[in-house]
Amino acid sequence: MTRLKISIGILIFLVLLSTFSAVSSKKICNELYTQLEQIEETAEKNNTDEAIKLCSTLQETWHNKKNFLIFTIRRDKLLNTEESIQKLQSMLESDCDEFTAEIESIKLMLDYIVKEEIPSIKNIL
Amino acid sequence: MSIMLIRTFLLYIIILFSVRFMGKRQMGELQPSELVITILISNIVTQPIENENIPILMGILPILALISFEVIISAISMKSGKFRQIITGRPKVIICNGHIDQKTLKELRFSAEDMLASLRGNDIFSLEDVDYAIVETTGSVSVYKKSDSQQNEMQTAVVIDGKYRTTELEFIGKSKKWAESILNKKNLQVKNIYLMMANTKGEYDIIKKEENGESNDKIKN
Repeated sequence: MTRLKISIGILIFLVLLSTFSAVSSKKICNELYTQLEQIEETAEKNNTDEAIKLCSTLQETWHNKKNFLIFTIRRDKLLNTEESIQKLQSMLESDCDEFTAEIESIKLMLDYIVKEEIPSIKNIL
Repeated sequence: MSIMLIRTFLLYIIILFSVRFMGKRQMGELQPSELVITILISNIVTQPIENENIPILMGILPILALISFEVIISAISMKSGKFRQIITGRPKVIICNGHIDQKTLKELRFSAEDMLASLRGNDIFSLEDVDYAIVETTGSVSVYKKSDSQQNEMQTAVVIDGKYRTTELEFIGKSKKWAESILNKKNLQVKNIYLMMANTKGEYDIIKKEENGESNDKIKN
């Protein structure tokens, strides 16, 4: 009977943990997404200095949030996103044409991270 | 390399406690659900060991979920005979009174060679020696030898955990009414019976459910 109670407890804990993980991942990615949009907007207004500052903030946010995401997201995915985020500042500084494409690429990666956590039929199958 | 070693050690500890938590049943012959769990756990655990890109939680959480399912399914199986039948099936008699039930063997996809190999595994080298042979839900074969039948008639469980087993009653040529009449004679209620064994001669052993930790002696006819 004790084992049964423990098992039910474990299952409830796992359900709560997976819900928490999905909700937290979404919250983190939304925060990063918002910052990306701010960077994009600022860059379009040719306010490069401000955009560079926002890039630094984005990198800092990513470093902090990555410590949580690393427990639930595959490392190679996080690495790809991190590489792209690191490139942004130097792209802005060198006025690279691919800056907008890189921003869109990061948005897509973040979107994918969120969508993969949702227990949809598509993900299950 | 060191990460792989640490992960292996961590997962080994988790598996050890998981198998221990599932209980001694896992150590013996496996029921179908137990075999599934064992295979799944062994496959799941290799993923985070071999691939460092996969977070270790992605190995631990499925294992915890599987062992919890297994304990819950075992608990439900104990309470519900029908559920137990769905999960584990029923033992099937392949030799009855020395006669081979070929239809049952076909249903089980048990060839004659398989049957003879199982008999040899029970130290039986002649079909003449076999009175009954039963394929258990674990796939093993239990044999009641003809020489044994001169000492004690084979018994079968006709009441388990407060519930009548109609198939087993029919097997020994008795009915539920017969079992009810026995219990009424002894002033017993079926819900208080842990186990009632009976044979074709109508001989029986009854063991009542334990109350307050007190063990009960067998009630014989």
